[in-house]
Amino acid sequence: MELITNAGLVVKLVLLILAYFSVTSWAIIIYKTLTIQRATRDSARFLDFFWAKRRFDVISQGLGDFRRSPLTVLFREVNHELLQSRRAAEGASADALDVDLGEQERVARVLRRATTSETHRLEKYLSFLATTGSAAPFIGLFGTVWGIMDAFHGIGKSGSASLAVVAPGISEALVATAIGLVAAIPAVIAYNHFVNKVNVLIGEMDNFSQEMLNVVQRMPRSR
Amino acid sequence: MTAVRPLRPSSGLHADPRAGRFLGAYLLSLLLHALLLLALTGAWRGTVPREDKPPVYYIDLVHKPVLNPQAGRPEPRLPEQPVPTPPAPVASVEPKATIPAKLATTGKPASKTADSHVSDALRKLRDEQALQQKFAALRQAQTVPMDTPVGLPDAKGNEAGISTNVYVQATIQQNWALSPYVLGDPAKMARIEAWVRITYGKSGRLESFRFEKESGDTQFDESIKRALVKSQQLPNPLPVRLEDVRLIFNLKQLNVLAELRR
Repeated sequence: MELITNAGLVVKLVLLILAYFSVTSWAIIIYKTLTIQRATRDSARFLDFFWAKRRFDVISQGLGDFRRSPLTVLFREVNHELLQSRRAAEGASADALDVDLGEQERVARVLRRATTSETHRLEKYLSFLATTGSAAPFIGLFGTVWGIMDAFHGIGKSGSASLAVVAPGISEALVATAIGLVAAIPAVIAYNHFVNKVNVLIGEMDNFSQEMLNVVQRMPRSR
Repeated sequence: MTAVRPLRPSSGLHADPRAGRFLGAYLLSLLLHALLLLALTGAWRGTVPREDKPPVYYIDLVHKPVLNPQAGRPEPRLPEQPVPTPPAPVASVEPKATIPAKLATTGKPASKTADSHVSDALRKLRDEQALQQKFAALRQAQTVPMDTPVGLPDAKGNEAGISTNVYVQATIQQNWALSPYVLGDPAKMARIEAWVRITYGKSGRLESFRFEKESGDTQFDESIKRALVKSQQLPNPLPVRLEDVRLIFNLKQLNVLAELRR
Protein backbone atom coordinates (compact mmCIF):
# COMPACT_ATOMS: atom_id res chain seq x y z
CA MET A 1 0.00 0.00 0.00
CA GLU A 2 2.93 2.31 0.74
CA LEU A 3 4.08 1.78 -2.83
CA ILE A 4 0.92 3.47 -4.05
CA THR A 5 0.65 6.17 -1.43
CA ASN A 6 4.26 7.20 -1.82
CA ALA A 7 4.06 7.37 -5.63
CA GLY A 8 4.04 10.65 -7.49
CA LEU A 9 1.01 12.45 -8.87
CA VAL A 10 1.40 11.20 -12.43
CA VAL A 11 1.88 7.62 -11.31
CA LYS A 12 -1.20 7.89 -9.12
CA LEU A 13 -3.19 9.22 -12.06
CA VAL A 14 -1.98 6.33 -14.20
CA LEU A 15 -2.97 3.90 -11.48
CA LEU A 16 -6.41 5.47 -11.33
CA ILE A 17 -6.87 5.07 -15.07
CA LEU A 18 -5.73 1.47 -14.87
CA ALA A 19 -8.13 0.85 -12.01
CA TYR A 20 -10.96 2.16 -14.17
CA PHE A 21 -9.88 -0.13 -17.00
CA SER A 22 -9.69 -3.10 -14.69
CA VAL A 23 -13.06 -2.49 -13.02
CA THR A 24 -14.81 -1.95 -16.34
CA SER A 25 -13.12 -4.95 -17.91
CA TRP A 26 -14.23 -7.22 -15.12
CA ALA A 27 -17.74 -5.79 -15.28
CA ILE A 28 -17.81 -6.62 -18.99
CA ILE A 29 -16.38 -10.07 -18.32
CA ILE A 30 -19.10 -10.80 -15.77
CA TYR A 31 -21.84 -9.33 -17.94
CA LYS A 32 -20.72 -11.06 -21.11
CA THR A 33 -20.26 -14.38 -19.39
CA LEU A 34 -23.87 -14.30 -18.23
CA THR A 35 -25.23 -12.93 -21.51
CA ILE A 36 -23.45 -15.31 -23.84
CA GLN A 37 -24.04 -18.28 -21.58
CA ARG A 38 -27.76 -17.59 -21.53
CA ALA A 39 -27.85 -16.90 -25.26
CA THR A 40 -26.15 -20.19 -26.04
CA ARG A 41 -28.39 -22.14 -23.70
CA ASP A 42 -31.60 -20.49 -24.95
CA SER A 43 -30.54 -20.95 -28.59
CA ALA A 44 -30.06 -24.67 -28.12
CA ARG A 45 -33.42 -24.95 -26.41
CA PHE A 46 -35.11 -22.81 -29.07
CA LEU A 47 -33.77 -24.95 -31.91
CA ASP A 48 -35.19 -28.05 -30.22
CA PHE A 49 -38.48 -26.25 -29.76
CA PHE A 50 -38.49 -24.93 -33.32
CA TRP A 51 -37.99 -28.30 -34.97
CA ALA A 52 -40.39 -29.97 -32.60
CA LYS A 53 -43.33 -27.64 -33.23
CA ARG A 54 -42.83 -26.69 -36.91
CA ARG A 55 -45.80 -24.32 -36.84
CA PHE A 56 -45.02 -20.62 -36.91
CA ASP A 57 -48.06 -19.61 -34.91
CA VAL A 58 -47.25 -22.13 -32.15
CA ILE A 59 -43.61 -21.16 -32.13
CA SER A 60 -44.52 -17.48 -31.94
CA GLN A 61 -46.50 -18.09 -28.79
CA GLY A 62 -43.58 -19.87 -27.11
CA LEU A 63 -40.90 -17.31 -27.88
CA GLY A 64 -41.10 -15.83 -24.40
CA ASP A 65 -39.29 -18.84 -22.98
CA PHE A 66 -36.16 -18.16 -25.08
CA ARG A 67 -35.82 -14.44 -24.74
CA ARG A 68 -32.02 -14.50 -24.53
CA SER A 69 -31.52 -16.36 -27.80
CA PRO A 70 -30.64 -14.31 -30.90
CA LEU A 71 -32.40 -16.93 -33.01
CA THR A 72 -35.74 -15.88 -31.58
CA VAL A 73 -35.17 -12.40 -32.94
CA LEU A 74 -34.53 -13.82 -36.36
CA PHE A 75 -37.63 -15.95 -36.19
CA ARG A 76 -39.80 -13.13 -34.88
CA GLU A 77 -38.74 -10.75 -37.62
CA VAL A 78 -39.19 -13.36 -40.35
CA ASN A 79 -42.56 -14.26 -39.00
CA HIS A 80 -43.60 -10.67 -38.92
CA GLU A 81 -42.34 -10.08 -42.42
CA LEU A 82 -44.29 -13.06 -43.68
CA LEU A 83 -47.43 -11.85 -42.00
CA GLN A 84 -46.97 -8.43 -43.54
CA SER A 85 -46.36 -9.92 -46.96
CA ARG A 86 -49.40 -12.14 -46.76
CA ARG A 87 -51.57 -9.32 -45.59
CA ALA A 88 -50.28 -7.04 -48.31
CA ALA A 89 -50.70 -9.75 -50.92
CA GLU A 90 -54.33 -10.26 -49.99
CA GLY A 91 -55.20 -6.83 -51.35
CA ALA A 92 -52.71 -6.73 -54.19
CA SER A 93 -53.41 -7.56 -57.82
CA ALA A 94 -49.86 -8.38 -58.79
CA ASP A 95 -48.79 -11.60 -60.37
CA ALA A 96 -48.56 -14.46 -57.89
CA LEU A 97 -45.12 -15.63 -59.01
CA ASP A 98 -43.67 -12.16 -58.64
CA VAL A 99 -45.14 -11.83 -55.17
CA ASP A 100 -43.66 -15.17 -54.12
CA LEU A 101 -40.15 -14.30 -55.31
CA GLY A 102 -40.32 -10.89 -53.66
CA GLU A 103 -41.35 -12.47 -50.41
CA GLN A 104 -38.28 -14.71 -50.32
CA GLU A 105 -36.06 -11.81 -51.13
CA ARG A 106 -37.59 -9.73 -48.36
CA VAL A 107 -37.20 -12.57 -45.88
CA ALA A 108 -33.55 -12.92 -46.80
CA ARG A 109 -33.02 -9.21 -46.27
CA VAL A 110 -34.79 -9.33 -42.94
CA LEU A 111 -32.63 -12.25 -41.86
CA ARG A 112 -29.42 -10.47 -42.88
CA ARG A 113 -30.43 -7.33 -41.03
CA ALA A 114 -31.48 -9.21 -37.92
CA THR A 115 -28.28 -11.22 -37.96
CA THR A 116 -26.21 -8.06 -38.21
CA SER A 117 -28.17 -6.45 -35.43
CA GLU A 118 -27.79 -9.46 -33.15
CA THR A 119 -24.10 -9.73 -33.96
CA HIS A 120 -23.63 -6.14 -32.89
CA ARG A 121 -25.52 -6.84 -29.71
CA LEU A 122 -23.40 -9.88 -28.93
CA GLU A 123 -20.17 -8.06 -29.68
CA LYS A 124 -21.10 -5.04 -27.63
CA TYR A 125 -18.42 -3.99 -25.11
CA LEU A 126 -15.93 -6.51 -26.49
CA SER A 127 -13.99 -3.70 -28.11
CA PHE A 128 -13.35 -2.29 -24.64
CA LEU A 129 -11.74 -5.56 -23.63
CA ALA A 130 -9.53 -5.43 -26.70
CA THR A 131 -8.59 -1.84 -25.91
CA THR A 132 -7.75 -2.73 -22.34
CA GLY A 133 -5.67 -5.68 -23.43
CA SER A 134 -3.61 -3.63 -25.82
CA ALA A 135 -3.44 -0.25 -24.10
CA ALA A 136 -3.23 -1.03 -20.38
CA PRO A 137 0.37 -2.34 -20.47
CA PHE A 138 1.48 0.77 -22.31
CA ILE A 139 -0.32 3.04 -19.89
CA GLY A 140 1.35 1.19 -17.03
CA LEU A 141 4.68 1.45 -18.78
CA PHE A 142 4.18 5.16 -19.13
CA GLY A 143 3.60 5.40 -15.38
CA THR A 144 6.72 3.38 -14.73
CA VAL A 145 8.87 5.49 -17.02
CA TRP A 146 7.57 8.64 -15.43
CA GLY A 147 8.11 7.24 -11.93
CA ILE A 148 11.68 6.24 -12.76
CA MET A 149 12.35 9.67 -14.19
CA ASP A 150 11.01 11.14 -10.99
CA ALA A 151 13.12 8.77 -8.90
CA PHE A 152 16.29 9.63 -10.78
CA HIS A 153 15.53 13.28 -10.39
CA GLY A 154 15.26 12.75 -6.64
CA ILE A 155 18.50 10.77 -6.64
CA GLY A 156 20.24 13.58 -8.44
CA LYS A 157 18.99 16.04 -5.88
CA SER A 158 19.96 13.93 -2.91
CA GLY A 159 23.40 13.31 -4.38
CA SER A 160 23.46 9.70 -3.24
CA ALA A 161 23.22 6.69 -5.51
CA SER A 162 23.03 4.02 -2.87
CA LEU A 163 20.56 1.18 -3.21
CA ALA A 164 18.55 2.53 -0.31
CA VAL A 165 17.91 5.70 -2.27
CA VAL A 166 17.42 4.20 -5.73
CA ALA A 167 15.34 1.11 -4.94
CA PRO A 168 12.19 2.63 -3.37
CA GLY A 169 11.59 5.01 -6.25
CA ILE A 170 11.99 2.32 -8.89
CA SER A 171 9.86 -0.08 -6.90
CA GLU A 172 7.06 2.48 -6.69
CA ALA A 173 7.34 3.13 -10.39
CA LEU A 174 7.14 -0.55 -11.29
CA VAL A 175 3.78 -0.86 -9.58
CA ALA A 176 2.23 0.90 -12.55
CA THR A 177 3.47 -1.74 -15.00
CA ALA A 178 2.36 -4.51 -12.70
CA ILE A 179 -1.17 -3.13 -12.42
CA GLY A 180 -1.27 -2.50 -16.16
CA LEU A 181 -0.52 -6.17 -16.75
CA VAL A 182 -3.04 -7.21 -14.11
CA ALA A 183 -5.68 -5.25 -15.98
CA ALA A 184 -4.61 -6.39 -19.44
CA ILE A 185 -4.10 -10.13 -19.04
CA PRO A 186 -7.68 -11.04 -18.00
CA ALA A 187 -9.02 -8.68 -20.63
CA VAL A 188 -7.07 -10.37 -23.44
CA ILE A 189 -8.01 -13.85 -22.27
CA ALA A 190 -11.66 -12.90 -21.91
CA TYR A 191 -11.71 -11.14 -25.28
CA ASN A 192 -10.44 -14.20 -27.09
CA HIS A 193 -12.87 -16.42 -25.25
CA PHE A 194 -15.88 -14.24 -25.95
CA VAL A 195 -14.98 -13.71 -29.60
CA ASN A 196 -14.89 -17.46 -30.01
CA LYS A 197 -18.26 -17.85 -28.33
CA VAL A 198 -19.81 -15.05 -30.38
CA ASN A 199 -18.49 -16.61 -33.57
CA VAL A 200 -20.21 -19.83 -32.63
CA LEU A 201 -23.48 -17.96 -32.13
CA ILE A 202 -23.04 -16.09 -35.42
CA GLY A 203 -22.57 -19.43 -37.13
CA GLU A 204 -25.72 -20.66 -35.50
CA MET A 205 -27.59 -17.60 -36.74
CA ASP A 206 -26.31 -18.14 -40.30
CA ASN A 207 -27.38 -21.75 -40.22
CA PHE A 208 -30.76 -20.81 -38.85
CA SER A 209 -31.15 -18.16 -41.55
CA GLN A 210 -30.53 -20.71 -44.27
CA GLU A 211 -32.99 -23.09 -42.67
CA MET A 212 -35.57 -20.36 -42.40
CA LEU A 213 -35.15 -19.50 -46.07
CA ASN A 214 -35.66 -23.13 -46.95
CA VAL A 215 -38.74 -23.30 -44.80
CA VAL A 216 -40.15 -20.16 -46.39
CA GLN A 217 -39.42 -21.56 -49.83
CA ARG A 218 -41.20 -24.79 -49.00
CA MET A 219 -44.24 -22.99 -47.66
CA PRO A 220 -47.46 -23.43 -49.61
CA ARG A 221 -48.23 -20.46 -51.78
CA SER A 222 -50.83 -18.15 -50.36
CA ARG A 223 -52.58 -17.98 -53.68
CA MET B 1 -58.50 -5.24 -44.88
CA THR B 2 -56.97 -5.03 -41.42
CA ALA B 3 -54.26 -2.53 -40.71
CA VAL B 4 -50.84 -4.06 -40.33
CA ARG B 5 -49.14 -3.08 -37.08
CA PRO B 6 -45.67 -1.88 -38.00
CA LEU B 7 -42.83 -3.69 -36.24
CA ARG B 8 -39.78 -1.67 -35.47
CA PRO B 9 -36.74 -3.69 -36.51
CA SER B 10 -34.17 -4.42 -33.85
CA SER B 11 -31.08 -2.24 -33.95
CA GLY B 12 -27.69 -2.48 -32.36
CA LEU B 13 -27.66 1.24 -31.65
CA HIS B 14 -30.46 1.05 -29.13
CA ALA B 15 -30.28 -0.39 -25.69
CA ASP B 16 -31.24 -4.00 -25.71
CA PRO B 17 -34.22 -4.59 -23.43
CA ARG B 18 -33.01 -8.15 -22.93
CA ALA B 19 -29.52 -7.08 -22.05
CA GLY B 20 -29.88 -7.53 -18.34
CA ARG B 21 -28.20 -5.28 -15.91
CA PHE B 22 -24.77 -4.09 -16.90
CA LEU B 23 -24.82 -1.72 -13.95
CA GLY B 24 -25.15 -4.70 -11.62
CA ALA B 25 -22.11 -6.31 -13.18
CA TYR B 26 -20.23 -3.05 -12.80
CA LEU B 27 -21.08 -2.78 -9.12
CA LEU B 28 -20.08 -6.40 -8.62
CA SER B 29 -16.75 -5.76 -10.31
CA LEU B 30 -16.21 -2.70 -8.14
CA LEU B 31 -16.92 -4.76 -5.05
CA LEU B 32 -14.50 -7.47 -6.14
CA HIS B 33 -11.75 -4.93 -6.70
CA ALA B 34 -12.38 -3.34 -3.31
CA LEU B 35 -12.19 -6.75 -1.62
CA LEU B 36 -9.00 -7.57 -3.48
CA LEU B 37 -7.47 -4.29 -2.40
CA LEU B 38 -8.46 -4.91 1.19
CA ALA B 39 -7.05 -8.42 1.08
CA LEU B 40 -3.75 -7.24 -0.38
CA THR B 41 -3.30 -4.42 2.09
CA GLY B 42 -4.42 -6.47 5.06
CA ALA B 43 -6.86 -3.78 6.13
CA TRP B 44 -9.56 -6.37 6.75
CA ARG B 45 -7.61 -7.61 9.73
CA GLY B 46 -8.37 -4.36 11.49
CA THR B 47 -6.21 -3.19 14.35
CA VAL B 48 -5.45 -6.56 15.90
CA PRO B 49 -1.91 -6.27 17.24
CA ARG B 50 0.54 -8.69 15.80
CA GLU B 51 2.27 -11.11 18.08
CA ASP B 52 5.81 -9.98 18.57
CA LYS B 53 8.25 -12.63 17.54
CA PRO B 54 11.32 -13.17 19.64
CA PRO B 55 14.40 -11.69 18.09
CA VAL B 56 16.48 -14.06 16.00
CA TYR B 57 20.19 -13.68 16.03
CA TYR B 58 22.28 -14.97 13.19
CA ILE B 59 25.89 -15.87 13.60
CA ASP B 60 28.16 -15.87 10.63
CA LEU B 61 30.09 -19.05 11.08
CA VAL B 62 33.32 -18.78 9.20
CA HIS B 63 34.24 -22.21 8.00
CA LYS B 64 37.89 -22.04 8.66
CA PRO B 65 38.71 -22.11 12.35
CA VAL B 66 41.73 -20.24 13.61
CA LEU B 67 43.80 -20.44 16.68
CA ASN B 68 43.37 -16.90 17.79
CA PRO B 69 40.11 -15.47 16.52
CA GLN B 70 40.68 -12.18 18.25
CA ALA B 71 43.75 -11.37 16.17
CA GLY B 72 43.12 -8.75 13.60
CA ARG B 73 40.40 -7.03 15.52
CA PRO B 74 40.91 -3.43 16.45
CA GLU B 75 41.64 -2.53 20.00
CA PRO B 76 38.68 -1.18 21.89
CA ARG B 77 38.53 2.51 21.54
CA LEU B 78 40.19 4.23 24.42
CA PRO B 79 38.72 7.31 25.99
CA GLU B 80 40.23 10.31 24.39
CA GLN B 81 43.06 11.72 26.36
CA PRO B 82 44.14 15.26 26.02
CA VAL B 83 47.14 15.51 23.81
CA PRO B 84 50.04 16.59 25.92
CA THR B 85 51.20 19.94 24.86
CA PRO B 86 54.72 19.72 23.73
CA PRO B 87 57.09 21.58 25.94
CA ALA B 88 58.85 24.62 24.73
CA PRO B 89 61.61 23.81 22.35
CA VAL B 90 64.71 23.15 24.24
CA ALA B 91 67.05 23.91 21.47
CA SER B 92 66.66 27.65 21.68
CA VAL B 93 66.70 27.99 25.42
CA GLU B 94 69.45 26.31 27.28
CA PRO B 95 67.97 24.45 30.21
CA LYS B 96 69.43 24.90 33.52
CA ALA B 97 71.84 22.16 34.18
CA THR B 98 71.59 20.44 37.47
CA ILE B 99 74.95 20.91 38.95
CA PRO B 100 75.92 18.40 41.55
CA ALA B 101 75.82 19.81 45.01
CA LYS B 102 79.35 18.83 45.56
CA LEU B 103 80.54 20.94 42.72
CA ALA B 104 78.33 23.85 43.68
CA THR B 105 79.71 24.03 47.12
CA THR B 106 83.26 23.85 45.98
CA GLY B 107 82.69 26.48 43.31
CA LYS B 108 85.18 24.77 41.10
CA PRO B 109 84.50 24.55 37.33
CA ALA B 110 82.72 21.41 36.21
CA SER B 111 84.93 18.62 35.33
CA LYS B 112 84.83 16.79 32.02
CA THR B 113 82.91 13.84 33.48
CA ALA B 114 80.25 16.10 34.92
CA ASP B 115 79.80 17.83 31.57
CA SER B 116 79.33 14.57 29.79
CA HIS B 117 76.72 13.51 32.36
CA VAL B 118 74.82 16.72 31.87
CA SER B 119 74.90 16.54 28.11
CA ASP B 120 73.74 12.91 28.24
CA ALA B 121 70.87 13.84 30.48
CA LEU B 122 69.93 16.70 28.20
CA ARG B 123 70.04 14.46 25.16
CA LYS B 124 67.91 11.85 26.87
CA LEU B 125 65.44 14.54 27.83
CA ARG B 126 65.25 15.80 24.27
CA ASP B 127 64.83 12.30 22.89
CA GLU B 128 62.09 11.55 25.36
CA GLN B 129 60.26 14.75 24.48
CA ALA B 130 60.56 14.03 20.79
CA LEU B 131 59.28 10.51 21.36
CA GLN B 132 56.33 11.82 23.33
CA GLN B 133 55.47 14.20 20.53
CA LYS B 134 55.67 11.39 18.03
CA PHE B 135 53.43 9.19 20.16
CA ALA B 136 50.90 11.96 20.54
CA ALA B 137 50.79 12.48 16.78
CA LEU B 138 50.44 8.74 16.16
CA ARG B 139 47.70 8.43 18.77
CA GLN B 140 45.79 11.19 17.10
CA ALA B 141 46.24 9.66 13.67
CA GLN B 142 45.19 6.18 14.80
CA THR B 143 42.02 7.19 16.56
CA VAL B 144 39.51 4.82 14.90
CA PRO B 145 36.00 6.16 14.33
CA MET B 146 33.12 4.04 15.61
CA ASP B 147 31.89 3.04 12.16
CA THR B 148 35.25 1.81 10.95
CA PRO B 149 35.04 -1.74 9.59
CA VAL B 150 36.34 -4.51 11.75
CA GLY B 151 39.94 -5.41 11.11
CA LEU B 152 43.27 -3.73 10.89
CA PRO B 153 45.19 -2.70 7.82
CA ASP B 154 48.05 -5.02 8.67
CA ALA B 155 45.86 -8.07 9.31
CA LYS B 156 46.36 -11.17 7.18
CA GLY B 157 42.75 -11.63 6.22
CA ASN B 158 42.29 -14.94 7.97
CA GLU B 159 41.99 -13.60 11.44
CA ALA B 160 38.21 -13.35 11.59
CA GLY B 161 36.70 -16.60 12.69
CA ILE B 162 35.67 -18.73 15.56
CA SER B 163 37.48 -20.93 17.94
CA THR B 164 37.98 -24.58 17.18
CA ASN B 165 35.58 -25.72 19.86
CA VAL B 166 32.81 -23.46 18.62
CA TYR B 167 33.44 -24.57 15.06
CA VAL B 168 33.16 -28.25 15.91
CA GLN B 169 30.16 -27.63 18.10
CA ALA B 170 28.38 -25.65 15.39
CA THR B 171 29.08 -28.32 12.78
CA ILE B 172 27.68 -31.07 14.95
CA GLN B 173 24.69 -28.96 15.92
CA GLN B 174 23.91 -28.35 12.27
CA ASN B 175 23.92 -32.06 11.64
CA TRP B 176 21.76 -32.79 14.66
CA ALA B 177 18.10 -33.33 13.80
CA LEU B 178 15.38 -34.50 16.11
CA SER B 179 11.75 -34.89 15.22
CA PRO B 180 9.49 -32.70 17.34
CA TYR B 181 7.05 -35.54 17.71
CA VAL B 182 9.53 -37.82 19.43
CA LEU B 183 9.58 -36.17 22.82
CA GLY B 184 6.34 -34.28 22.95
CA ASP B 185 6.38 -33.36 26.60
CA PRO B 186 7.77 -29.83 27.07
CA ALA B 187 8.94 -30.61 30.60
CA LYS B 188 10.92 -33.56 29.33
CA MET B 189 12.31 -31.43 26.52
CA ALA B 190 13.56 -28.90 29.02
CA ARG B 191 15.46 -31.36 31.21
CA ILE B 192 16.74 -33.97 28.81
CA GLU B 193 20.51 -33.93 28.39
CA ALA B 194 23.38 -36.15 27.32
CA TRP B 195 27.14 -35.76 27.64
CA VAL B 196 29.48 -37.07 24.97
CA ARG B 197 33.27 -37.12 24.91
CA ILE B 198 34.70 -36.70 21.41
CA THR B 199 38.15 -36.70 19.89
CA TYR B 200 38.87 -35.03 16.56
CA GLY B 201 42.17 -35.30 14.77
CA LYS B 202 43.83 -32.36 13.07
CA SER B 203 42.52 -33.56 9.74
CA GLY B 204 39.00 -32.93 10.99
CA ARG B 205 38.24 -36.64 11.30
CA LEU B 206 36.23 -37.88 14.26
CA GLU B 207 38.45 -40.44 15.90
CA SER B 208 36.31 -41.55 18.80
CA PHE B 209 33.29 -40.70 20.85
CA ARG B 210 31.72 -42.16 23.92
CA PHE B 211 28.70 -41.30 25.99
CA GLU B 212 29.74 -39.93 29.32
CA LYS B 213 26.16 -39.52 30.44
CA GLU B 214 23.21 -40.88 28.52
CA SER B 215 19.93 -39.04 28.45
CA GLY B 216 17.79 -42.04 29.20
CA ASP B 217 15.79 -41.57 26.03
CA THR B 218 16.84 -43.95 23.31
CA GLN B 219 15.64 -41.84 20.44
CA PHE B 220 17.39 -38.78 21.80
CA ASP B 221 20.64 -40.68 22.14
CA GLU B 222 20.23 -42.19 18.69
CA SER B 223 19.77 -38.73 17.21
CA ILE B 224 23.08 -37.70 18.80
CA LYS B 225 24.79 -40.73 17.32
CA ARG B 226 23.39 -39.88 13.92
CA ALA B 227 24.67 -36.33 14.26
CA LEU B 228 28.14 -37.59 15.17
CA VAL B 229 28.17 -40.03 12.28
CA LYS B 230 27.19 -37.22 9.93
CA SER B 231 29.95 -35.09 11.42
CA GLN B 232 32.62 -37.76 10.98
CA GLN B 233 34.52 -35.53 8.65
CA LEU B 234 34.54 -31.80 9.21
CA PRO B 235 34.53 -29.56 6.14
CA ASN B 236 37.91 -28.12 7.08
CA PRO B 237 40.90 -29.46 8.98
CA LEU B 238 41.44 -28.24 12.50
CA PRO B 239 44.41 -26.19 13.61
CA VAL B 240 44.80 -28.35 16.71
CA ARG B 241 43.75 -31.80 17.77
CA LEU B 242 40.68 -31.88 19.95
CA GLU B 243 41.35 -34.46 22.58
CA ASP B 244 38.52 -35.85 24.64
CA VAL B 245 36.32 -32.78 24.53
CA ARG B 246 32.99 -32.90 26.29
CA LEU B 247 29.90 -31.97 24.28
CA ILE B 248 26.62 -31.43 26.07
CA PHE B 249 23.48 -32.03 24.09
CA ASN B 250 20.28 -30.50 25.40
CA LEU B 251 17.23 -28.67 24.18
CA LYS B 252 17.48 -25.66 26.41
CA GLN B 253 18.55 -23.38 23.63
CA LEU B 254 15.76 -21.15 22.49
CA ASN B 255 16.07 -21.88 18.81
CA VAL B 256 15.96 -25.61 19.31
CA LEU B 257 12.97 -25.36 21.58
CA ALA B 258 11.16 -23.04 19.20
CA GLU B 259 11.77 -25.40 16.35
CA LEU B 260 10.52 -28.37 18.25
CA ARG B 261 7.34 -26.61 19.28
CA ARG B 262 6.27 -26.08 15.68
